[in-house]
Amino acid sequence: MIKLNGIYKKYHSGSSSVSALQNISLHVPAGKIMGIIGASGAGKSTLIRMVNLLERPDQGSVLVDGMNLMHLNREELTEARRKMGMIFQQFHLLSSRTVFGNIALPLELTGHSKKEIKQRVGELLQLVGLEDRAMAYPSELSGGQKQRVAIARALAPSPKVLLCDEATSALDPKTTHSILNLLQKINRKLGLTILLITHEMDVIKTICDEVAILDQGKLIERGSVTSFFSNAATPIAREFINATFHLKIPEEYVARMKSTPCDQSYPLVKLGFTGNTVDKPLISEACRFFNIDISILSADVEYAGGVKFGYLLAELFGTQHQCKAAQQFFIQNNIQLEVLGYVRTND
Amino acid sequence: MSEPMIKLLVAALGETMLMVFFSTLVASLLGLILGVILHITRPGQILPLPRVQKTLEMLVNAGRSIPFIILLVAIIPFTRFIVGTSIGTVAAIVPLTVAAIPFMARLVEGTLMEIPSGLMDAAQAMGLRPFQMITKILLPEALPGILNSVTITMITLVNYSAMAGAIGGGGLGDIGIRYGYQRFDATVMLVTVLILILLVQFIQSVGHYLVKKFDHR
Repeated sequence: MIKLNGIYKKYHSGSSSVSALQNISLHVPAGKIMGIIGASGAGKSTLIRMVNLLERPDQGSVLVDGMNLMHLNREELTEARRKMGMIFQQFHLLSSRTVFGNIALPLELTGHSKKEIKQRVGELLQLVGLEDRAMAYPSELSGGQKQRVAIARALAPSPKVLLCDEATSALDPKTTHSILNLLQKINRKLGLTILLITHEMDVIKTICDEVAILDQGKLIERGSVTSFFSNAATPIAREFINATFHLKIPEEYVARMKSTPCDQSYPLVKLGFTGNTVDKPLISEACRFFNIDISILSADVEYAGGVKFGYLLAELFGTQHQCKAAQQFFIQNNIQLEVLGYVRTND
Repeated sequence: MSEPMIKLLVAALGETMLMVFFSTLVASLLGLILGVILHITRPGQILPLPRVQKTLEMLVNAGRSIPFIILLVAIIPFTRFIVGTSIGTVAAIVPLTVAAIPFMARLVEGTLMEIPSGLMDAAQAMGLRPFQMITKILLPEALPGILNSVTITMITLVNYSAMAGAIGGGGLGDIGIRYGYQRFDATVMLVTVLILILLVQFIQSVGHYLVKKFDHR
């Protein structure tokens, strides 16, 4: 549905120039949700703005639904843009129009009758769950509601493609999830192809089929979300995955921790589960095989893309020899193991 | 105050209102158009035309730098061309309008600049044509600011109209100068000033009410 081929973009300021995008090729199949993740400044916004030519690439081609947008004249491009919806981080609703008026705007452009507009806006309000706010002004709405209006407005001309430019980045986590659910619903219900950019792995994990990582203007990794979580190869990809976990050693433990083992101390380990980890009940096996006890301090393990991944903080109680053997066992089963320190027992 | 004096003041109020009303009407319209052109021809805007922009910019600056009392007499031939005479209340409307157009244009331009650029991105992404961007986005979004600009322009014109006496335009300012200042009639001076204050208060209140009514930001 969306095909980018060999896109290059440079920005010039005075004598210096910055390469924003380098040789980007991307394919979003019809009906799929693709997410592009990258740190700020990686070129995400520039990339998504290439798709509807809000910014023109210096080189390369942009195909949407089989049509090469680079070859269109101004009038044809305006027409083509009406078949693509776009939503933004800051919503960009008209403050002078009500919710109804905002959603009606794209329909006014294509010469729909008043009656048709009223009916279509009614359907869209129902789809995004804002039937009772039709006459409200955007300033009276919450962030989540504003984004719902923006989504309804983007969907009004029945586009085939929806572009989401950091659509949830200005929203709190709960609202983010409700907006993501809505995007997923319209993807399934209307068969809409969605391309989104984000800096949050959670967004990718929650709704995307495909993912690509953008770093310093280059696509460094791409594939299905399933394979991404199990086989992410580049350090940046791993970093993004790790950023979704929030593990901290409790203060009390930090105070009692030493970097070397001593009498009456037990190792505190961080166990990392990845796509390569052998799928067995490894914790209880270790307890049985090596006759040790394991106390889990905290855990953040998730299931996404068909694999378990995440981290555990755990104390291993046993003799030094037993603990060493258990650690070996974990490593053999492809658990990433890191000894964070040795904790003295409270006496 | 004598009865003829009161009659004189009432007539002068009528003249002031006539001058201010018509010059505001025309200057607001033309100033709005000029302000929109100044804005959209900037680089990165809807219709970037750097040369047109630079030229208009210079004209507006030139217009705003001429003191009104000089403009009033300097454009007498133009005034005569437009209304057939260079003397009287109707003749005064021409220089008042000419002075107010660049003033209004600048105010409108400032208002348009405050519209978030993201809104124009959204408009472009939705497939609005350039003209639709002006009528459906720029003007409605700037409406409160435009109404405020009209109010400020109108009050400035009340001020300028005081100088219309120089070409026989009459009005409250003229009474104030001739009777209040030149004849040392403190009562007349005070009354004209009071009427002017009330007039400006009234214009400001109406303007404020309209801005509030249309402002949904």
